[in-house]
Amino acid sequence: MSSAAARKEARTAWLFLAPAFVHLICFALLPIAVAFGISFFRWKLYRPNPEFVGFGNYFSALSDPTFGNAMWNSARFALVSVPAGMIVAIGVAILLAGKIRGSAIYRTLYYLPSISSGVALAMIWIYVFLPETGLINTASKLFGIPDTDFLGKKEWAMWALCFMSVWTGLGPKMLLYLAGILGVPPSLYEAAMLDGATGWQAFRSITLPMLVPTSLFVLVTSTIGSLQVFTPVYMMTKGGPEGSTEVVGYHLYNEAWIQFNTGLASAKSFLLLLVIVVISVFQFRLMKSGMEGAREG
Amino acid sequence: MRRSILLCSIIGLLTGCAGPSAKPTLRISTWGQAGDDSDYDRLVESIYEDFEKVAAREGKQIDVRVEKMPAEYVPKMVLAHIAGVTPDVVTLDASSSALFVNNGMLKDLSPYLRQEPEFLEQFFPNTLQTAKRGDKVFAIPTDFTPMVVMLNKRHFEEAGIALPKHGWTWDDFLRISKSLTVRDKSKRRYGFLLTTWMPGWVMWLWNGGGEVLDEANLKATGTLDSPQNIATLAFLKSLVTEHKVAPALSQIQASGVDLFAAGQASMQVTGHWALVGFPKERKADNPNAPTLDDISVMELPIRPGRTGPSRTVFYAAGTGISSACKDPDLAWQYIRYWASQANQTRYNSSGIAISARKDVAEARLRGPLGRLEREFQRIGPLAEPPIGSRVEGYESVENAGREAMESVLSGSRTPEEALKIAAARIDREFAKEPRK
Amino acid sequence: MRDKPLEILKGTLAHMALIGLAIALMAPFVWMVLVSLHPSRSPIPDIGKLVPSQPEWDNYRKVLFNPAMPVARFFWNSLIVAIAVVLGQLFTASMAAYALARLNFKGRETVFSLFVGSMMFAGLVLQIPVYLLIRSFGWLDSYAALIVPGIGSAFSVFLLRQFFLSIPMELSEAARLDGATDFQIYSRIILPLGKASLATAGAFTFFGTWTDFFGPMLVTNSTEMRTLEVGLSVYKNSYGGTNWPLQMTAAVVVMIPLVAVFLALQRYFVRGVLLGAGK
Repeated sequence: MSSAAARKEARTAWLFLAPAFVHLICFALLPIAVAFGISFFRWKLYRPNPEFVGFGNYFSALSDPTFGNAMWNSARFALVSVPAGMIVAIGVAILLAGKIRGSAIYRTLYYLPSISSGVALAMIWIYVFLPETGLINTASKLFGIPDTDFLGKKEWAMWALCFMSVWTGLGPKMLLYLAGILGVPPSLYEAAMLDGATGWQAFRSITLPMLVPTSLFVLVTSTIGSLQVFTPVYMMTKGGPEGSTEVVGYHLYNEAWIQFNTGLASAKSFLLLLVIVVISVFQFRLMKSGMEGAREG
Repeated sequence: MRRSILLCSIIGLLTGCAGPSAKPTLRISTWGQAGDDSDYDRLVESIYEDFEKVAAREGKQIDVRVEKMPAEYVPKMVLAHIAGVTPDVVTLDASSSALFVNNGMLKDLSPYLRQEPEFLEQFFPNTLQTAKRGDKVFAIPTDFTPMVVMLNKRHFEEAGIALPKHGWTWDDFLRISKSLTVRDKSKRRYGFLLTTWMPGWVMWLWNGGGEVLDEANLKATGTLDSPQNIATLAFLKSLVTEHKVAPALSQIQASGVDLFAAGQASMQVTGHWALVGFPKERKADNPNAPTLDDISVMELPIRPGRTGPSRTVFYAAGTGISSACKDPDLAWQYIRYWASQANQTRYNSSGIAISARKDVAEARLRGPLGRLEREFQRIGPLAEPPIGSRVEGYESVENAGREAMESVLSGSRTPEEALKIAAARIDREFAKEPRK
Repeated sequence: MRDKPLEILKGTLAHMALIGLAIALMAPFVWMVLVSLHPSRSPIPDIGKLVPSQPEWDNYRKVLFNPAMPVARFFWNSLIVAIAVVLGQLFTASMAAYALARLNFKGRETVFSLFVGSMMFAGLVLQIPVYLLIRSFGWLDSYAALIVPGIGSAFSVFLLRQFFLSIPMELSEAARLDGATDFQIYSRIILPLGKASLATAGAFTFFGTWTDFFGPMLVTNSTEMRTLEVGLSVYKNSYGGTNWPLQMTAAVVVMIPLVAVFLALQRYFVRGVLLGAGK
């Protein structure tokens, strides 16, 4: 391609990019840059006198046990809710991908829990987890299972939130997997059947590898989402009981909007960003090699 | 083509709806409530709106705009402050007012007050303390309530015991709670309803001889985790776990109602606002719910052997002028209008709190709820300002306190462990910024 | 071809699993609606008394016609904002995704990683600079403050880019040989072929915008500018678990428009994703 054509293409590309990119600069990159600057100051938001402390905020964040606890809680949340959410979604998608009657109705029903609003979600799920009169305890009473205060016990609260996130996150993941499964060319199956493969073998050798790109896309986005989770904690547990659900997202809210330690909250946000970037880069690598593997396989 | 039409319509929508109004506006911020008493909501709206007429009479055409924040009131005000767009008149919750008062977010009202030296004399003196710093006054109180023990007299009659007397102690309290508790499953009733919300139990610490923060309000270790406070928490815990005269947290949540208002608890610590929820007459469909006639209030009991009067806190609301206000004279005129006897009488008619104006409060003694008002107004003027009116970031103390109480009641931590952890957490929060 | 009874058995089992899951997934919603029909301030009903003998429609009157809360206006605000954000975002994101997926230029990878990277920053502290920005434009408490921050989305760019990548390059090249400009290729080939992905991104955006809480709460002051989600949050804050019937009524009122939109769009949305997959 001539360099003039390349220049023209680049110009066109930037024209196409302009609206989104200008928006990105104004509402994301610029604010992030500002936050980065603030992270070097000790600053109570309502006071006029920020004090430059260099990397002081980063050091105090790293030695802050509540921040450490919040990081650990987010890790627990992500490590359970991401794989669990993916497995459930794959399972449901496989069931729905078969030539089953009423598949469209099921899809619609399964998507509904994913569209509830934060406020509604909080009210519904506090109710679901209530001791004695809550939905789960009412149901478990029928089987003689003893009562549990899911959101009130530190042994349970985090798992209750994970359960909820699998439940409410099912819709989009299920759809993405369904799209992935239905996207497998039928010719591949036919070829496998001719080779005498059983249904299960065909699934393992064809469907699963074809789902690798979808899985990794879901993995990346839901890992980012779960490490930043905020709304359910803000609406339901406020980090309790005993800090057992104080995830980083909620910890940052508390630091920035209750304590107004703007500089420290910014520094902590960048430490979280660092963790997420490292994990994502690793997952992107995995995605690339996974896709290549799938292509070869 | 279609895209450009779309873009134009979006731009039109944006600019069309964001147009400024011609008249100068007086912006008043307050917090929102769901409120189901529609007549009262309308009445309060009309107080705000009528100020337009008052100003018009003096030749000023203005718009009054009330901004009710549904959540996150303090963060919203702080953001508005750093952006220089705070509403002209700011409603303050005394429990979180230190941040506003100490940081130049409000204008000093003393120049106005010097012109009317008698103005502040109309208010209960303790309510003035929250926003006073030396000679400066940053807000005018609207209404307040002391935290009291509220009790259901009918339950006392049914149990055949006398109402508590002034100077009652924790021993009396426990004895009474036991007598009031009904264990029969069909009409289960608890003597006392305990909350984990720290503003609802901090007075127990005081009456047990303890404090929350040290005298300089700089740290909690050594005071919050003092032996007195540990004993107090152990006492409160015993009400739930040992004596079973108060419901466990899970039982409170599982019921899904206010157990006191449902007639399933006989005593609770609360404020004047709770009165709003009680019916005047017994309703056939809910015969167990206490009516206003059933309610009585008493100061908190003290630890046996402790001398001195019972201590309690008051919670209050007030109004101030924001430092961003362009026309403070108008805002002051509004505050005087708002705090006038006529308007405070209207505002106070909901009975949600005691008016901070002595004349308005006194008039209610002669009203239909005179008996309860008298009981409240006996305790109210002796109550102490909330710690959050002095200490910035007190919310972190309240959060740590709630966590401590939850862990003690659920049995996962001893009172000593819980208070030590809470005090350490508070100290860590406070240490994030050097405090004077 | 295969064993018939076995097939039937498998089908029945699959249906049982699917129906069981559907029941479990829908139970909280059914419960929510039933509780909202109990008298205000009544306790949480036992399972036996869950269906109210006399539905208390008055709760809905209380929430919908509360004089202090113009719910119709909240609804209207949510609708205007959500539609404007969806349209604006699809416009900006599809253009950007076209450039990132189908054009070659220096710095493409960098720009793409800036988009993706911005998603990785937890946004709560960004509300401070964003608020100051909105303030400097003079947009506080206006539709602009609710709409403009939402009309760009790295997530949508990412999503659409992935879809656009899967459209065969030969189509663009053939069009280009016929003298089509990039804008023509974008609007006449890529957008029609990417309809399903646009529907998907649009629906995600609609739900996300409709239920957004923290940002809209910060940038609006007057009651008339509240969205449904922000406006009705007072029910949870005011009652906090002591008036479930009214709280649930408020939750139903927030949810119903969403469910309605979903049911109206699911033909395009749910099937759209699958059509996109099946090419």
